Amino acid sequence: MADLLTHVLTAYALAALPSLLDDRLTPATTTAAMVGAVLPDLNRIDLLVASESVETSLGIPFGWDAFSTVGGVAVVATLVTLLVPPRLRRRTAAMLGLGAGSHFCLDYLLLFPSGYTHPYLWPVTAAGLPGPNLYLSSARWPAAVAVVVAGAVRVAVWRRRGPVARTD
Amino acid sequence: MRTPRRPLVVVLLLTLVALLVGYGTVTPDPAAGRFFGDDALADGTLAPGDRVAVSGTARGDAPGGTRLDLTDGPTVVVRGLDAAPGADVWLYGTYRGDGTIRTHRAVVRAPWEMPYLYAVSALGGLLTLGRVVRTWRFDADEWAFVPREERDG
Repeated sequence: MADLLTHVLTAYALAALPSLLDDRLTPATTTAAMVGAVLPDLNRIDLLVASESVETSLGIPFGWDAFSTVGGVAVVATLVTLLVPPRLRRRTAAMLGLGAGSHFCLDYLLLFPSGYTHPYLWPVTAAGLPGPNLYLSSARWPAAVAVVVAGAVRVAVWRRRGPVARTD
Repeated sequence: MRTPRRPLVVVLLLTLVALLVGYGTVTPDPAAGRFFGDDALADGTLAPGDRVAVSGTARGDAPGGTRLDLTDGPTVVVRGLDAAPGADVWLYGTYRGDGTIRTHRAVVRAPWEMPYLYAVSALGGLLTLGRVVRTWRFDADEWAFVPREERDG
């Protein structure tokens, strides 16, 4: 959980750059990558309805943090992929995976006081991973870097497709 | 052509519910890098020497350390913590028998830093939502989302 702006701008840059070389990648597939980058942060539903409240009211164990794991993201990404026509599913799934993958990579670099990350790889393993502890989710520089990089990519896309294109 | 996706959607939704419930059964295990949190202090189930990872708001000095109002737990006294009153604290430490925590590593943030994180994250969410609306549309015939640049599929 670096800030979500950093995540979606990183996904934008990673998806829009190859779209310069491959016509199958469009503004819509770039958006799919950004949606993929949002998926691991669906655990923030906890801020609206706490996991503990769900546990208390339903009487069963419950954890929104399942969204912030490869298992939860894989299931949600597959559901999202089924929302597009069959001819677009491979591309959409690849882009969702790109966005979600970049999210996990950036979050793996985060600083945790214990030195161990969240168990992102669950249910493959429930272990927290020893991480490099590089930066905090509230640090300002990742978003600044992401804005500069995504802005540069956007300019490159404009030059390729022309600034009058409706998107990108 | 209609694809048989409804059964698959049902299976995936059930799998998602199973994962959400399954994650709720994941309990702290220091050997696996998962440490006791605020709730363990609230429940009073900790033993001296247990490693904890807790978060809360610093409330000034107390005898032997700094008072910390845990977000999801009681007020505790933390030793070895340098945090101004009102600061957000996220720390890893050892629970001591006298009800205090000894700090190993702490992240101390000014009160504005978490609101900054939420605000800039909301901006990222809105940016994405805006792009979804601009680049995709719902096609009632296909009962699916299609890119806007496509003309009638």
